[in-house]
Amino acid sequence: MIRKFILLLLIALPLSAQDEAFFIERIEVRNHDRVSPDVVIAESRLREGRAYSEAELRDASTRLGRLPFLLSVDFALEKGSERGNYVLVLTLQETRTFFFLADLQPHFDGQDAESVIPDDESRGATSENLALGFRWFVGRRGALHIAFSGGDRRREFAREYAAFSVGYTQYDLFGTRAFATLNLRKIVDFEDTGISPQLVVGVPLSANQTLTLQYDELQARRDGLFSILRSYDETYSQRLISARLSYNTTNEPFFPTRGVHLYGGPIAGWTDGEVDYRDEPYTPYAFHSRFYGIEGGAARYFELTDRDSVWGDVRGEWSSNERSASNVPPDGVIPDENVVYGSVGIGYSHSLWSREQRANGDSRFEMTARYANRDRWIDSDPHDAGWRDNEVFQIGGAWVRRTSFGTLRLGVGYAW
Amino acid sequence: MVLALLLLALSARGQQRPSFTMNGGVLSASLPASVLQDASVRKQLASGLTTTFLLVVREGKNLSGARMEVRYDLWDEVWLVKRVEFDGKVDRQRVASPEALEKWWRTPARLLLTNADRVVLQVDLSVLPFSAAEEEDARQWITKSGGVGTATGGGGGIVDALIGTTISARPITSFRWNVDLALR
Repeated sequence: MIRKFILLLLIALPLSAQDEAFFIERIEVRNHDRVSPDVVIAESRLREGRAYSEAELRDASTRLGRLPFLLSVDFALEKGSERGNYVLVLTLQETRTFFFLADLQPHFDGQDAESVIPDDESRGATSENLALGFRWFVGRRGALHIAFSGGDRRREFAREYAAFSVGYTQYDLFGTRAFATLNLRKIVDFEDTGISPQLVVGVPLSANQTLTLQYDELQARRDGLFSILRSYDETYSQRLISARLSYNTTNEPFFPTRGVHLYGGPIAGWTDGEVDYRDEPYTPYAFHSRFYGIEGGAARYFELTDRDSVWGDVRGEWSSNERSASNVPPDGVIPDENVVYGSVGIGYSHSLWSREQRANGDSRFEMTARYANRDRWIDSDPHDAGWRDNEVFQIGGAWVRRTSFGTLRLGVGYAW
Repeated sequence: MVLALLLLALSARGQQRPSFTMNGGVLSASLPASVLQDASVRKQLASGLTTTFLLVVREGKNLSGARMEVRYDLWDEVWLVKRVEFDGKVDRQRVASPEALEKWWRTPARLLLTNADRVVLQVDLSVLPFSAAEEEDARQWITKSGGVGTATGGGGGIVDALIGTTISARPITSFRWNVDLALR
């Protein structure tokens, strides 16, 4: 087994002399019901009237396999209209109009461990804990969705809330294979909130490389909050902008079993708010923060056998938060902060289904282990400046079920 | 020297089993035709794209293998086949009929150099879509991104090339045979 891992990591020589190019005169999508064939072709990044090698077709196949609205895609060639030309046939297995992603794995901790590891990092690829909704393809290259998403994801210095959202995705933007998604979100946690827009633009640089730009805006007001014998009203606004370059050869969108995922990029944000106390003698104050950082990670998934898969990943993030307030709040100063976060994780999963059954999804049992370290530097208070180290080990087990409706992970973990 | 071998194979899938021959210290395996008749394999063979058969043999800590690639040329209506054996020997052919393909398929593939009297082998055959060469792309991306990737190989040899290039593709199907061979 060790030798196998070593072999995987060693440099490999492409030996295939038969990897000739095929001139694709037409791309035909079969077995499609709800999914637009034009979206599938756009997302494959293949174009009619061009020649592609098998390596390029394989990359397209892998890319389509990561789309959340497809369970699987089979590639095949048929004869074209004249000798040397081919028709590329893509046979789909679609997911349903209703979709969900539920990642429910609470961790019990022996100390204040859970605050160290962001919730989205307990496994690897997911970025939300709960999302469910409906998706309809409209027109040739568009998709409309309504959804509810949970807000448990923690990012340094930024807040995330549960929200209802209505969104539209335009694929093959201006014929470039790029896509843009506009979400209009209604934050659930606030009583008096407007519509919070979110814009995501993805630019595929190759079949495996994508540049993603994201802008989030949140404006909200909450009344009647209560903290340490004080009640107050809060207005809060947040703007986040991020860019991420990723290289992804994994086989599935949420819980992959093979492939590589590398990513990295900067993030910046601004928050403004006001706290208005209802009781004397506390005086209202306004706060402002400006934060920026850079994050990156690498994950590698190996299929050991037909049913067994292992993975390992490393992640890191550095971020800095400069904060100020109009006056000193009752709880004390608002210090500037720097945070350095790093984690290493490993995991194993075993499919409970045979390969034949997995054409329609998967049912897996997985075990994970992670070590994380979060160093926090607080430097505004001269009496309390310095690094605060916090490290945690985390183990967990879960059952993962992927169906034509979505993906569910149910599990439990322990952190110390 | 060709010896009659005692084959004690346990097949999890109840498939036909490979047969083994020994010649000049080289162990070769002839794969059963039932592999080509498997429904998922037949479907991939008919796709007009390459089907890769990766044969990995484990003898204790030793690892060896061979690789076969088969693609049906839709216009010439012939099978383009290639076999890469454990020592790097490459054989390419064009075969014109299913019978000729089966004959080529059953030609023993040279797997392992051994002077032992008896070997206990685990033989894994993975059937993979598309041709080989996935890792190169990832390595180039790392190198271009200023990461730690290296540009050339570290002397892993033919086994690395046989296995490393294809192992991360998801198999269409796979077969495993455990065999105990008395070679003398």
